[in-house]
Amino acid sequence: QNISVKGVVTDEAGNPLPGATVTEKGVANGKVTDNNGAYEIRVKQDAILVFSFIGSTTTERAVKGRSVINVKLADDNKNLNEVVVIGYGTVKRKDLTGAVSSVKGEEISKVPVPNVASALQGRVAGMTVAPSDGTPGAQPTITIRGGGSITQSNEPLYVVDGIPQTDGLSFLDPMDIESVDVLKDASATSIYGARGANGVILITTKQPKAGKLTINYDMYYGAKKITRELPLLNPYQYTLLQYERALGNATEMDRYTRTFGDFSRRDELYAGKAGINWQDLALGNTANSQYHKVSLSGGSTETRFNLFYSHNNDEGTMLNSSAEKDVMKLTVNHNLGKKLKVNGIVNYSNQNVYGVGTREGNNRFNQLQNILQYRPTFGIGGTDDDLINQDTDPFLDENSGNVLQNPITNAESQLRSANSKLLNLNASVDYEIFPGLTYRALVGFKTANNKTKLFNDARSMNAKRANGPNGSIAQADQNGWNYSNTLTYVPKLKKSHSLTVMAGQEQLYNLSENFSMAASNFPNVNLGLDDIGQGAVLGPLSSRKEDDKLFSLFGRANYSYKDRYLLSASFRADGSSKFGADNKFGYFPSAAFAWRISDEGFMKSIKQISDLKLRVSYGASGNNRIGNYLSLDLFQSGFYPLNNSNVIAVFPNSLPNPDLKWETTISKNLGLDLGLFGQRVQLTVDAYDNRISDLLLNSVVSGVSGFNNMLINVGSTSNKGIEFTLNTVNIKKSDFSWNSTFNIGFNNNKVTSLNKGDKFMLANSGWGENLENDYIVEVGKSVGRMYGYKTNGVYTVDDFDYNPTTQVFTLKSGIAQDPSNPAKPGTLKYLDVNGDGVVNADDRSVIGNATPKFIGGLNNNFSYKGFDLSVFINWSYGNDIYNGNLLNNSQTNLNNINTMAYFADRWITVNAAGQRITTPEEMTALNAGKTIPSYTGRGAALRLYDKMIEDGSFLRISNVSLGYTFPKNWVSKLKMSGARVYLTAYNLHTFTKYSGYDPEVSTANPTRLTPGVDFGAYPRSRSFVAGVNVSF
Amino acid sequence: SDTFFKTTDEADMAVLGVYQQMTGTAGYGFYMSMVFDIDTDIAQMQGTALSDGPRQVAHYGIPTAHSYMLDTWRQMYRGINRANLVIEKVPQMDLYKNGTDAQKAILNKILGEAKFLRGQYYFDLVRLFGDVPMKLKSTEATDDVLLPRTDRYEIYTQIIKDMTEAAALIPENSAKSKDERLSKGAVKGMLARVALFAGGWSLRQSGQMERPSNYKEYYAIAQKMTSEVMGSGEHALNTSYEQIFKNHCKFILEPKESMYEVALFNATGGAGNSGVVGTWNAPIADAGNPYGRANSFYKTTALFQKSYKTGDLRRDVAVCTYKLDVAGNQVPQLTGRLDEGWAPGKWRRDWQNTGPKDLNNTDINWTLLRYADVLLMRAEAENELNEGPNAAAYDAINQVRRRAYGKPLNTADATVDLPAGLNKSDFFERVKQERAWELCFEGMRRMDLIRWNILGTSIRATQAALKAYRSNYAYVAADNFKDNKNELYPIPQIERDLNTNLSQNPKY
Repeated sequence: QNISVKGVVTDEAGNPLPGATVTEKGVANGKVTDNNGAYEIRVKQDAILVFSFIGSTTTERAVKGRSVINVKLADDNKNLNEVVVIGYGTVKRKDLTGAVSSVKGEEISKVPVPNVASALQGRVAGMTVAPSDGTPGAQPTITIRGGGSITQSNEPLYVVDGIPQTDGLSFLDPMDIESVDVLKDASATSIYGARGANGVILITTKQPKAGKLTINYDMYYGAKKITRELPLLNPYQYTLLQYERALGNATEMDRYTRTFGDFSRRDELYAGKAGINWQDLALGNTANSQYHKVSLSGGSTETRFNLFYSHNNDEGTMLNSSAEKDVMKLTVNHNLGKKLKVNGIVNYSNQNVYGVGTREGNNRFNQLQNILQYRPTFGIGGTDDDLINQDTDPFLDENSGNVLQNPITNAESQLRSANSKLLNLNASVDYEIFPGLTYRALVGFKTANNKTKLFNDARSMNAKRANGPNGSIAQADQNGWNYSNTLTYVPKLKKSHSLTVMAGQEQLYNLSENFSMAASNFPNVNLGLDDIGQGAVLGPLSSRKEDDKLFSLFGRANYSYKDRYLLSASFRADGSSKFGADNKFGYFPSAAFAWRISDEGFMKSIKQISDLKLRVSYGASGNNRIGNYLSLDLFQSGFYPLNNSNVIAVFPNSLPNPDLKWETTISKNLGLDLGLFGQRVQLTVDAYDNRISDLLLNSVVSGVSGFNNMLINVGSTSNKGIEFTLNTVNIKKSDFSWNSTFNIGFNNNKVTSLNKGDKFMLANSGWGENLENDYIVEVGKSVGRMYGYKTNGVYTVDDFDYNPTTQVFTLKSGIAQDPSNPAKPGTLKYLDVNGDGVVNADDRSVIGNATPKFIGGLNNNFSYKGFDLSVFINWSYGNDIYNGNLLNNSQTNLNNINTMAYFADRWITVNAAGQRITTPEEMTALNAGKTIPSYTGRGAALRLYDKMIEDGSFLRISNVSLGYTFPKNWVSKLKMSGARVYLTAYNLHTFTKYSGYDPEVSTANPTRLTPGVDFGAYPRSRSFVAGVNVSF
Repeated sequence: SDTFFKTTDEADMAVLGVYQQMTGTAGYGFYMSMVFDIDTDIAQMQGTALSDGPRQVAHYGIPTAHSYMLDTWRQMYRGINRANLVIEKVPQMDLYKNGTDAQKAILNKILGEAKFLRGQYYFDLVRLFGDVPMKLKSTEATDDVLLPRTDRYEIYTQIIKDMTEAAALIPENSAKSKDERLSKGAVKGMLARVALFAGGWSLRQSGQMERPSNYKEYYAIAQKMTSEVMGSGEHALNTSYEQIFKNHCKFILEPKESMYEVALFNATGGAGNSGVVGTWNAPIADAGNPYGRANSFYKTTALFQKSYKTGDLRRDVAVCTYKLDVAGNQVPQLTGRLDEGWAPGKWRRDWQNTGPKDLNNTDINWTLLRYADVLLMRAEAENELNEGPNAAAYDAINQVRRRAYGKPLNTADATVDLPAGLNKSDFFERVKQERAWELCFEGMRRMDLIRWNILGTSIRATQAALKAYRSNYAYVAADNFKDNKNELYPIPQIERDLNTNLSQNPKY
């Protein structure tokens, strides 16, 4: 006999749950709760009702004749049923066997940033997101588990909606992210074969939801300013340094006196003067940023769509610099019956980055150095404003070798723009061939157009020094496609067994074509690059075309027994056109096992433990990040000019390596997932051991070979580490909650072998002319170790015998010196580390290490009624920074340039009367305790020494965001379905001992050989953003 | 490379790739021709501080990591590797055995050029760095390139062999194409120079300057080669010393006198394949003048200019005592200390062809061998081999001297000819002096002083003389120069970091 049962379904906090399902167990009879969570259903008197709702624990109630049954659904152990994307498929988190971390799109969109990579910083244990500096539009470098490659990219593979991306993530709108899943161990990544070794980041963009048309508008507006300026010599200090340099050189002294006045007037003219702050003028702007996004979504259950357009404009704090991005995306889903699903995505992005930035040029021409070194006062010829208003320094006009220029003019006269347009078209078809067997086809096309324009107008130093106004246009187009087919079979097995088998095939093709042209000697009044034909002299024209192909077959099986014993195995074969004839195909197997201990009978009694799972995995994956055709013996063309006309000459362009293959990573992972108190506390611990062999080493080869570099597969590295992720729900009340997410990763990187039994190799960070090798890679040690000289202050008078008659200082015997820079009182005292009596390159030793001991992040989310607050902190501990700006500015002997305030306390060579000090007594009196060398005391060689290495540990209050969501009943009066306002502060404060602009910096080289150099980095800003999200 | 080397044109492109490594900044466009030729008794770099790359090299304060060392080292070896490839591939070509006679002749000439150039690159390496690794096979991935240093006499033997073979394969000037490529005379003249260096002094790894005991055997090669060039009738002196350099400045090839030139040219004025001949080693020309700017860094000394005898027409060609102001006017630099700014005048801006494409780079070739040098080498070799000057020695040097004074070349003239009856050492002194007057600033002096083992002595004497001339004369080379050290450059530290088999040169 059927009776009617009704009631209300609520969540734990008592809020009604609309849309919950109520079914009669074992019978096809069900209802859905209404807007107030109420239901009514007719069932048998002895029926059992099943209540279910997404995110809640499914609950059963026996009717037993009752007519009212109210149910409070406990929150599900929600992360356990959360779907995790694992590449060519998904699994529930509870069934996961590998090391996979996930970040929700909601978290990312709460603190809006211009690019997705920045939004991931500190969110995933073991994943480093390293911004190189604060340049607008700069993309951070992502490294997972330390990275194994030494000279090749450690960038993970990005897969967006199933399509592997070669152009990073900059084309995405960070507000369009549904979820990010990071595959960390090889059992997860080996399904991506030769591209998986650096980890895989799978991004799912927002998918359309059925329902009536909703319109969302998101916007924010922000302002930013650099957090600090580097202290430089003030005019009083600068004129003393310039006087020391000029003293003894009649021409220079004449110039000094004409410009700065007689030395005797220095106190009167310059004491207490602040001088010109070029950093403030060139870099110190308050820059604005804004973002707008309008989206439309809706549709029926059969056909749904989502359309948005967003615009982001991010000004840089440096004059004439900015980045802007427009993204438009349309997603359409269509279901044809129950068997066929079609999905299409069109994503178009257009990005522009403007400005010369601070990093262009090596030490002599670097833009930031020009800002730091331009003199801080005009002198006696006029006011400081006169210097600010002049394009060039009149003091230096007679100096033909001058490279310094007014930093304002410099930023205004060098036009740089980089445009990239990317169109992605993806389509997928899912077809259920019969129950349990689905076929999926995914095809992606992309076309990318990048255009870089440079123009140095007539005011630029480049035009003055060289070819008059000049410019170039470079265009790089990439077209490619990706096509994959997968079959997934889930057979119906006896209960307690479950199996999923997937097999697939993938093909990938990329074609790139580059074209560039340049011209110089433009007429002074000119159209710039709008008419490159106006250049009187046409510069080099070049074009290039290359392609690469990948063909792959792969498969995976996941088996579980009683949901407790989970086994998965995968295999992939990759054939790549990049590799040598003998190594075209690579094979990448993996296996993993997980044991859900919490589901064992003996654990049921321990109520506190809601989840306990142990995971073990083993697998292989590869890294194929190298250029095309490197395995081939190719000729390059050039010219030898005969009779003043170019004649084509050819020569080998690289040392070919027919054995070239991918790097192989063998990864072992041991993981533990622990959930306590109904998942209010979730801890994930992963310990890993990654061994990377056959390293693709772009080794610098002896010049005797006739080549500079060669790519070879030699050597090996290992990364061992442990990662902790702890998510806690600290407080959960009906109107107040506090959640925390904490992650920390310890990675121990070690080079285990190098080329042909070499014990070490040296590397050069390359920022300076005549710079000695300044990094070492040593077997048994980590990469990123800085290699240079130890110093012990300066040579003092006591180190010499003084002959008063000849006024000559002779170094006492037994004290070592550098033969190419003979010691004088006040010269930097490099240590003779090997004790052979001379200071030379053999005395270099390891003086710093860029590798942190651990990194991590802590996010706290609070919500109170409509308010939400999130505070995010990240840190790095134990890494050193190589202060290249300071080292470059240690060349205080170079005429005219200003330098860091650090050098104000140097050994002084002139007395108050402006005479060169010659007696030991006066030297000692003026320089007692000085440890910074005299203006000439650093010597001619540009070499790294210990005082240039600083502790780079930091703890950053990365962002704080406060939001308020208006109550539904308020917004519905305005015909809105939701409204939130928020205020976010970024880079609020950084605790660090580092003296440069910012401790998160690495500018020298994109490879791992020379990390942690701070030379010419664009200073990071602090910014405040206010934003609104409304939906209708 | 397997599919290349099918036609003579392809082989020709490949050998031009070997030539190409002579050009550009690290080649004869800048370092090799200018920076590495100073400081000496006749020239130096402007500015006394060791404040930039060229000054560190010129004033003998060279850090072992100096980029010029590395750049030139690598460029020479790139040239050698390219030469090795041509030397291996050309004889394997089908046309080399089965082609027409014309094709075979072309391929033989190409093979000869590659052999000569390999020798020349090794010659420069040995002179700059002493013993260096010798590799005579094109590099493959599997090669061990961490080679130890080879004794320079083993290398000299190879250079002489390569150049001798090249001389047999390369046609005479009158039969060759009208361009900057090698002629038989150029090869023989260069071989004579190689022989004089092999027979000269050099700083050995022992830390001592030494000359081989059989040095006269090398002088005999020089004697043979120079006399063959002189007897060939293919080369002659231009009757006007000034015209030689005006021809250089106007890109006029004149292979009778200027026997071998490195072709420098860049269509856009960039540094690639080009050089700074005529700006870096020329008198100051103010920015904006119609002839183009010249940043004059390569300077001569006032005393060298004054050393020319009255009537020597070479003086006012070799040394320019004016600068060009912004309007292009010649402004004499005669007062006060302005004579310290006198610069080589051989490639002055106002002799050059057109308005400048670039402020620094020019298309002026670097001349590696002039016939006058062949004559002076002949005189030096005859004097050494005969323990005093014979008639051939007198004739050779006097031809050079007669031209210098505007006299007929082949008519004895007591007013300018060297006095008869000079003994060996007096004649040798005259040769040394004549080489300075005739060949100054042509990339020869510093190396000549080293092979004569008088670089340090000359620098110290020059500094003393200049300080006596003017107490604050800016010349500092003697402050830094160290005997038995600075006769060689340091092996680039970055190469030593890569290859622990490479020892460093003495005292670095």
